[in-house]
Amino acid sequence: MNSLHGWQRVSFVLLHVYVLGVCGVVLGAFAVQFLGKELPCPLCILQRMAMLLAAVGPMFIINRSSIQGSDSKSDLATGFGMSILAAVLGLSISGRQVLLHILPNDPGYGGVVFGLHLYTWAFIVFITILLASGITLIMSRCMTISTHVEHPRVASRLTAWVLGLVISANAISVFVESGTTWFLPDNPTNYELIDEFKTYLQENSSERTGESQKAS
Amino acid sequence: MIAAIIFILMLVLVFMLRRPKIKMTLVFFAISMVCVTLLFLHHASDKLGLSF
Repeated sequence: MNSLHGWQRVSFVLLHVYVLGVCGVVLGAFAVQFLGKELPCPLCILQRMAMLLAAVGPMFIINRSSIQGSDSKSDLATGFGMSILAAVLGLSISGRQVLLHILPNDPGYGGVVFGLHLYTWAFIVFITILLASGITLIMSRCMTISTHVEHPRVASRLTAWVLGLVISANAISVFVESGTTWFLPDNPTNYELIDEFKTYLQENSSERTGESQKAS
Repeated sequence: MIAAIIFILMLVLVFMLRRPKIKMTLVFFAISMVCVTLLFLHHASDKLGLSF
């Protein structure tokens, strides 16, 4: 196993910070959803998707560093290329939502966090991701990682697990929110799956009472 | 429900990262990106009557 030194160690740690930072932002959105009781709109969900896709790039580089014979320079380019593509997509989604509420006296969608709406924060996050990816690619000469460790380290495994869990939690949350309908409504007001389940239970109980009345 | 399916696709992508060959990772990343873009276009063009 080759040991990391200098900038390589810093850049390896920064890749973990990158992934965990994006996961932290999505968890913040979760906190607003559950603690603030604000349901995310379809565009908010799309922004979460783009953020998590942007985090896949650095996670790809972290994983590739543990594979023998991988070309670390091309891995770095591939990983940050993925991040840049996802960030451009996220920037256009959050940009559209900012433009939807740009007119004067528009209250915007949802509450504010530190004076800005969540989609405005998402816009800032995507610009930060683009800047970080671009600067890392410019500095790739001193940031190329070639560890080739047999097994990924605990921190790398933990980071992958956190990313996986955040994606899973989003999948469950969106499924509960959309229920059995294909698309989310523009302004969701309730968790559709819970409502559908309640309706199903009510219909079942009314059918049973009807049958018991007929039998008596 | 489509949004939940895309998240599941992304979860598969994270599992694909551990494979030595990068081809499937890139394929799943491309599929995820296309799905997110199409869903965005659906929601963006809904009120314009251009929705697909």
